[in-house]
Amino acid sequence: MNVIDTKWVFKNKLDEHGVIVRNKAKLVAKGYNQEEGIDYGKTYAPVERLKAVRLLLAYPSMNRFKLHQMDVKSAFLNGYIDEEVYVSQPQGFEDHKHPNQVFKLKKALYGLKQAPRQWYKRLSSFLLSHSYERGKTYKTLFIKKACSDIILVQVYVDDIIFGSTNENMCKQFVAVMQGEFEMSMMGELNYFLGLQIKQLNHETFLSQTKYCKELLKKFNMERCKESVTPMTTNCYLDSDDKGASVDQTKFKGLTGSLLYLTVSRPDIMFSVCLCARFQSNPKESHFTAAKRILKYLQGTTTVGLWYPADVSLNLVGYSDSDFAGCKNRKEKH
Amino acid sequence: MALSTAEAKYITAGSCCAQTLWIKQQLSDFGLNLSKIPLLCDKTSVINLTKNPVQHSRTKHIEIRHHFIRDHVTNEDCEIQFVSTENQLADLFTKPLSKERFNFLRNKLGILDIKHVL
Repeated sequence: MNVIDTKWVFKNKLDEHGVIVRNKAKLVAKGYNQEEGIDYGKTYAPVERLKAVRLLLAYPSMNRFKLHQMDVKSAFLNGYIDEEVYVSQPQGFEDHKHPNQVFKLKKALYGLKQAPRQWYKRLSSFLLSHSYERGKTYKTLFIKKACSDIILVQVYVDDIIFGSTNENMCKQFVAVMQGEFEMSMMGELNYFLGLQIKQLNHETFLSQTKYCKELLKKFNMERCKESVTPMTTNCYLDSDDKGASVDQTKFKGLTGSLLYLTVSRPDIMFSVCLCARFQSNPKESHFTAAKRILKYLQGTTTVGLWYPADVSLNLVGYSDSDFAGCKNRKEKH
Repeated sequence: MALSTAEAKYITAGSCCAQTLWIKQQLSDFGLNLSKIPLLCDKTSVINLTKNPVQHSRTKHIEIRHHFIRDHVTNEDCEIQFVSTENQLADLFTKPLSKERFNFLRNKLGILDIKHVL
């Protein structure tokens, strides 16, 4: 029998201004000691991709409703586990009379391999039993329709975004969820996965100002000069075999961070993707190009995506490609 | 590997079509049904390629999977339209641009500074 050790993890939770809002102590299981087939079976749990979340953020501004968010407290602890898993006695809570005994788990702990899956299973079966339907394309979107009203519920692990054309449906949903799980941080959607969302009279503004400023700080570019575009017009990057190599880890970190920023900043999409192609063997010239993007960001930290209200939705695809040396790309609006 | 600009654009129009179909599907979950989604392309030869299902001797070499877009044009899921190069918003994603052009496209795409909208 495999007994899994546990460990305490302490963390401060920050809000979008960087102020400490909560102190957390978490008991985690050392899931890396679990054996497949004995301690866990399947581990896959669906998570929405950010593109789909962005689409959801754009949708309400056209239909004049607001999005709300809530957060399930210690979500993973809600999942029931199907396998027999034993954990050792947690530090500080040992039973001195029976030092050799262990605990058998009924519900999941953070750190267990099956925890995310079991949580998703619990939540989805709960919502389905309350006549919410699962989305056809994505399995983390839940929908309920009543007459001409609709409620959309987007689950992102333990964060839930929801909005409805009818306020009563929102209230009903909150009541249903509170009856089953312990919820926290309820209110209008304003901060989600590092995205700052401003909902003003049905218009929506999406930005990553805080993330962007932190990024500049991380790469020591907080006081750099500003540039007007992310890339020079005569910029031509190739593998540059003769150039001096730069630290690959740092370069990968930089491009990775920039890629996350493209969620609200499609304007740097091209330049970031171009730099990202040279991750396997970055040279001085590539690093200079990446730094130029940071210089551009320096002057445009407050830029983001603006979704105006009352625009009838029309989806238009723009397609274009650059035909020069097997470069190939497309994007749509 | 594309052999001409028209072929490159035809292939990208195909993947653009795939993306719009995904959004269309997602929106149908939200309760919104769209059809004849316009796909804007700045090359007339591409538009003709999608409309004419006859194999031309000069397009024989294009792989079959790239003709995906044709099916969807016939089914009226999407519709290819012409756009002039000045109004090609996707320019922002394909090449480095001058300051004026860059700012013009950025504003058109709805990427604005919060200081200007509030």
